[in-house]
Amino acid sequence: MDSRFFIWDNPKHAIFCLVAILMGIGCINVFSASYVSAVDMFGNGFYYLERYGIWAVVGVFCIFLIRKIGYRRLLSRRFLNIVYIAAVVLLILVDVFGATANGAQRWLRLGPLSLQPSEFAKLVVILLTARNFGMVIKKKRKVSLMRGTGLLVALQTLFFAFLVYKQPDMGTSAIIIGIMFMQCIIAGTSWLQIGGIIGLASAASALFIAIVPYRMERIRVWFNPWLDEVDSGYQMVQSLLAIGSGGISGTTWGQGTGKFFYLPEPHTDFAFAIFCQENGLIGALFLMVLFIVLGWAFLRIANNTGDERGFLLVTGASLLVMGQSVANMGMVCGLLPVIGVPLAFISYGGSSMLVTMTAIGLILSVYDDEEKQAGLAREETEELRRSRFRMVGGRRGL
Amino acid sequence: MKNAFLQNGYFRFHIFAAVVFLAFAGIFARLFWLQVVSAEKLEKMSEEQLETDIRRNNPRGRIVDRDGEEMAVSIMTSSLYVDPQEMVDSAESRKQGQQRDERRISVDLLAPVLKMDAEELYGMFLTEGRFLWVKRTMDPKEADIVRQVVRENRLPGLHFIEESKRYYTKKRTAAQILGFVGTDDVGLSGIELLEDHVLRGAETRHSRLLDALGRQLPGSDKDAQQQNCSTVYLTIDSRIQYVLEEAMDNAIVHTSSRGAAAIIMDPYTGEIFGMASRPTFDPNSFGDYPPESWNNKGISMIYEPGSVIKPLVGCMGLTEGLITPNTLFQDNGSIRVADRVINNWDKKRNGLVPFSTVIKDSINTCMVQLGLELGAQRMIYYSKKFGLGLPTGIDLPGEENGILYNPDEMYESDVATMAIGQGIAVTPIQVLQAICAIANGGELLQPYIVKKVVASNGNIISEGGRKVVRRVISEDVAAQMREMMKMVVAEGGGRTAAIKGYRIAGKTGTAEKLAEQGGYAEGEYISSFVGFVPVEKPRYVMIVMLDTPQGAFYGSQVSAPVFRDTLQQVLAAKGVQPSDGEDLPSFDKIELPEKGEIPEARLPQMEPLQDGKVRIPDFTGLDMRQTAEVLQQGHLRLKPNGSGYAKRQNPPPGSELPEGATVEIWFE
Repeated sequence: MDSRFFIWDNPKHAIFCLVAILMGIGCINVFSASYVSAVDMFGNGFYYLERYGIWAVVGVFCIFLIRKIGYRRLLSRRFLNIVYIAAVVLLILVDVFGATANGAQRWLRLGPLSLQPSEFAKLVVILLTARNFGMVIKKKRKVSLMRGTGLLVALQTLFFAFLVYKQPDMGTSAIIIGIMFMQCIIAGTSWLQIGGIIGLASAASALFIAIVPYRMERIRVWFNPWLDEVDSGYQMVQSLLAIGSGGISGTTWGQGTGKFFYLPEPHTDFAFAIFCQENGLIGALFLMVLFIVLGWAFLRIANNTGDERGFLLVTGASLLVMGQSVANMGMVCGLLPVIGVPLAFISYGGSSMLVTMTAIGLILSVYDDEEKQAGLAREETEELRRSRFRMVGGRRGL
Repeated sequence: MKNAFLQNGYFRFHIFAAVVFLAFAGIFARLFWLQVVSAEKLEKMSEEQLETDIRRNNPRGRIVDRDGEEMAVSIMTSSLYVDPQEMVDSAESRKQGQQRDERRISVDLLAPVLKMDAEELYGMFLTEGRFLWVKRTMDPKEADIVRQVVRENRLPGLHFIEESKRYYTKKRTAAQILGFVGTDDVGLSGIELLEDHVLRGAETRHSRLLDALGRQLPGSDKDAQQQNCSTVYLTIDSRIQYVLEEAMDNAIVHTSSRGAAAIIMDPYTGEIFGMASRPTFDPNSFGDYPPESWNNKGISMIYEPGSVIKPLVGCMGLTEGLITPNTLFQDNGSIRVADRVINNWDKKRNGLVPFSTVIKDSINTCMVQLGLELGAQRMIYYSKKFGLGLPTGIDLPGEENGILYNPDEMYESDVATMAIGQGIAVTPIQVLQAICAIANGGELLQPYIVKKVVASNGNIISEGGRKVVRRVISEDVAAQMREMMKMVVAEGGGRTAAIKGYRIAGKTGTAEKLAEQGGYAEGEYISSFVGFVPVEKPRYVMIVMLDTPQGAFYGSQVSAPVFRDTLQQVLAAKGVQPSDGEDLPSFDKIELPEKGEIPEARLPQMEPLQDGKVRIPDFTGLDMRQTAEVLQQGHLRLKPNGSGYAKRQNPPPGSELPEGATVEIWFE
């Protein structure tokens, strides 16, 4: 196995390096984007920067912890059951005690920090699908959502989605279901089911959009935010103005104007707009290249994984990190309707950071395992040269 | 061998990766579109929403007196306005789930500070518009408090604009000259109106970057420097003006006149040193005064001048060569012209008198004779030449024309009455301008009040100056008339204008007031005095006009003292040296009547006796006119010797004389 990855010795180093760079960029951007509103709200311009730092440290610790434990243990039935139940409890707690913001109850306050259980639900779904679909593939069966484990996973996911939807957080709810479907597709469900899923998803979206007028409005605004630039299209218009005014080279760091209360959520969901304003097309391209290389590293790790569950864990985690990032960028620049999806590392958000880092931890854990296997295999090969008798019973797939 | 299903997974994941890559490409294309293709448009739009053109009113230019002393200044004050549509919950407070009625909160906080009615304020906040003044030109302390309240409570929709507020430092002084400005910095009267174009604070616009909450972005403050406006220098001397205002106030108190006007001018340049009008007002709060008080009577009130026209008519006669100062006139006490009989003001018969005495004693009958000799054409021609009935062109708004007869339509009686100042309507400034021509040797000058307009950089934008309208009379005629007018103050009807140590020329005038509905107003008089000092080389020429004084109404009684009181102080203040010479009036003997007091009350009385005889009092100290008045009561005749004040009399005081007897009195 050729482990060279671009300039790095292996994808793991690439991920370390890219995550560090992205965090650095995120740090700077969050600071720039949040300074004004932080001064305004807390009298401390470093408020969000400090918190970003804390969450980054917690996130790094998460990576360390997960790699220490190893993904295989995390995918054990017992652990999964505990996590699933814990997530359900948290989601229900959020409905009861949660803090409200923007009209939705999404946060659970734990002392000075607040957590968003719906974010963790995404992780749980990834673990759930990785284990169960992985088991199905391993048994060389086709994954189906219509029966057996597949059906169970589908139902569990739908229950999650329902709880999140009730907050209400339709976006996250859709992402949860989307992850499950995507995992199912990657795991190799039949084209018939893929068609069914797509059909069902389209029908459901159409229905959901149709029954609630504000969603229709969002779609309308998505197509032409300028129609209602002072009200429902305001955020989109402000985002476009921020990006556009950045031009090719940007306004240079700190000089962007969008954050001066023009652009709502400048350091969270729309942090990318501020980034584009201050760093221009060149900066945005650089950031996208970083993400692409990061994704490539994920892809490499997935490709090298012989373990079905590990593979699906990597795909799920990649889906989460890359999918959300692409969705966020698409949303910020007006290609997608406004849904609350964070951009990994760049958007401020404790739970999002934690989930992203956990996802990366899981991917790295899979790579660790693979490296270990490869190491063992090498040893075996060497041993094989010495003694053919030891060949009996490979260690792989234990 | 790897699991086929896993291989399939790899494949499908690659498809996903490709989709993600394509999405990135799509996003890049979109960003390219936004940041390169439409960057210019979006940047412009972004700037437009950031940049706010701040209209900044610069303070209105100053009005200062001739020495640069401030009379009207402007300072920038804050005005509060509200945009009621902005008075909604901020996104932030909505995020925190707090609903609050911003309008009610604002009212509760601001009403006590602004000292405004809470409900009225609330009603204001509920209106549909987007711009409504809450309170304009607040004083700085109040504005600071309001600003603090607005900021601390993050009250939306309340904004400040800096506006210029006018302060008239000398309050009522020169009120009508200065005029006043409305709240929009528009000059509404006086110099404020006339020079509005130079005084008005230019509205400078400068852009400032604001955040979405309307606050200025740090570092975007390119605070335009206050652009200073031009300064208008008046010819007014604030000290003279002050003295004049005081004298006018006193005159109003003592004479209970309905109105008054007085002007002091430089006879050689036409500069107005002082100009006062009554009733008056304080331009700082002009709205509290009746609009009538805003009128500058000195240029806008038309009235019949009465006897003050006599020196002018005299000049006409002198110029035409009809008379000399020594030409004798026969005065019979009254004269019949066509169907009218014109009496002397004192009904006195002077007999044969030289023209100088006609002026000195203001003898109507002789003036009528001169007038008739001049005729309508010449009289109107010269009146126009003197500028009577025509605007002087002074640089003040609101000047009136006056009224002159068409000479072709004048009856003989009109000619006769015009010679004594009736049947002609003038403004005080016209009379002053005409008399000024006598004072300066014959040149009619256009009076002016704006000395110069100086731009903020020191450049003189415009400058007033001596402007000779025309030569009206010759130096000789002017000199002769000056001598005669000097006599008026020295020994004639204008003695009450005399100032110790100075030679003064002047003329009194008393005329019945023109009624508004035509004709004359019964018992209402306009009393005026016009004169200049010192006669040798006049420094000041001044007119005093009192409208309907109560009680005493003769110009000599009410107007001349104002002239005296004012100029006495002005001469002292300006260091004009007293003249020396023999022909100065001897002051020790002059007993000036108290202002407003009817001199008759103080005159010695004839004591009627039972047998139709009268006992004559002591005439010592009385002047010729007073003596005549007293003697008239007892139907006695006066045989005067000399001029001045009674020194000796024959028969002596206490004598009993029959009606028609003659009393011989020596004046000195």
